[in-house]
Amino acid sequence: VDPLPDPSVDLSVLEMLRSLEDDGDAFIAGLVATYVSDTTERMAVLRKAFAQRNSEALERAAHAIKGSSANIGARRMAALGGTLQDAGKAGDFATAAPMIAELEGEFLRVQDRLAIVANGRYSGI
Amino acid sequence: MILLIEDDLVTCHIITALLKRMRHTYCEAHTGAEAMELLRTQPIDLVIADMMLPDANGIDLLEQKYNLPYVSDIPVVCCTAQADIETVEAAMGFGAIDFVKKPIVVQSFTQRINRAIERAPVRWESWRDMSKRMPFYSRTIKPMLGIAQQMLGELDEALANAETAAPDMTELSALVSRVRGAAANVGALRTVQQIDKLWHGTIEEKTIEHLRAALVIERAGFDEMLAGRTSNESMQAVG
Repeated sequence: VDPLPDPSVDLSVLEMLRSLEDDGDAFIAGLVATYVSDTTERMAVLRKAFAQRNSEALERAAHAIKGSSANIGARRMAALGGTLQDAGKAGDFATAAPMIAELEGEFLRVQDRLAIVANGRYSGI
Repeated sequence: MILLIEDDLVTCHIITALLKRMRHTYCEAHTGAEAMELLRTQPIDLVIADMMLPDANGIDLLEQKYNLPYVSDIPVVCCTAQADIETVEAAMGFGAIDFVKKPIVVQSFTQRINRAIERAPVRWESWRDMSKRMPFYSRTIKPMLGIAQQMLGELDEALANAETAAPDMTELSALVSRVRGAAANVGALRTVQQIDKLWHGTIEEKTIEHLRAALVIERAGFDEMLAGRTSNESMQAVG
């Protein structure tokens, strides 16, 4: 997938989300925890769907990853999820294989960046 | 009350934070089955629906809702990352009035929801209109609401009895009229609208089923009003 948005997490999205609640830090920390937990689960579903060549399950898991990633500002994850969703829809497992590996790598980067934000170690948020 | 149908928890947290900030009351459903249960039991004014749920396709859900005459007119805003023209057409045919694209953008989402809520059926007469009509005080309206709500219960009981034994139609029609009058007195516009729409002066099975289903929702609306959980202008005066 080229080009992909950079960096992994759009901090302006998180700034916007932070402003929704009076206790913005707690709200962001909760959102990040939910996102990481749900996405970890969805990645497992994705891998299982791929192993079983279940295109419908692959499409659904990729769609879910795309939606929540976009909402939290993880744009590269969202873009990769969208491409993987299309591959699932088309039953194109040859394209899906490297995409899953790429998505896993990107998820690690997103988690690192979100951890910094959620722990308040990023001064801009 | 706004019904949010969304299976993704991150999106749910973001939308509910927005709805809170907009001072709307809301309830959440994470599956199609939960959504239908809330539609059948709660006074819903607007639905915000994800189009892909774990147990249901958004279009099927909209169709189910559309086929229930006591909630068919509740507007729906579809919330989706992408929608083809066929999906949009099908959704609009079943009561969708707008599509909001994910990811959520605060300003446009707020504007679209505020615009959509204006198209929701009016549930209660405004306090200002009611005070012009009758010299109400918050002390006196609450007992009147209680009495009207009790009458809704009596009507439900009479309709339940009519399902098993032929009722005296003159008596039943008179009861419906009294309940309608009591609802109108306390400004329960939606209750009056539902009675006018669903009561045809006969005891056909569908008439009774639909009117009783509407009464479940209307009684919940009275509960909400009496408990002060609505942001309606009249409620602020009552609460």
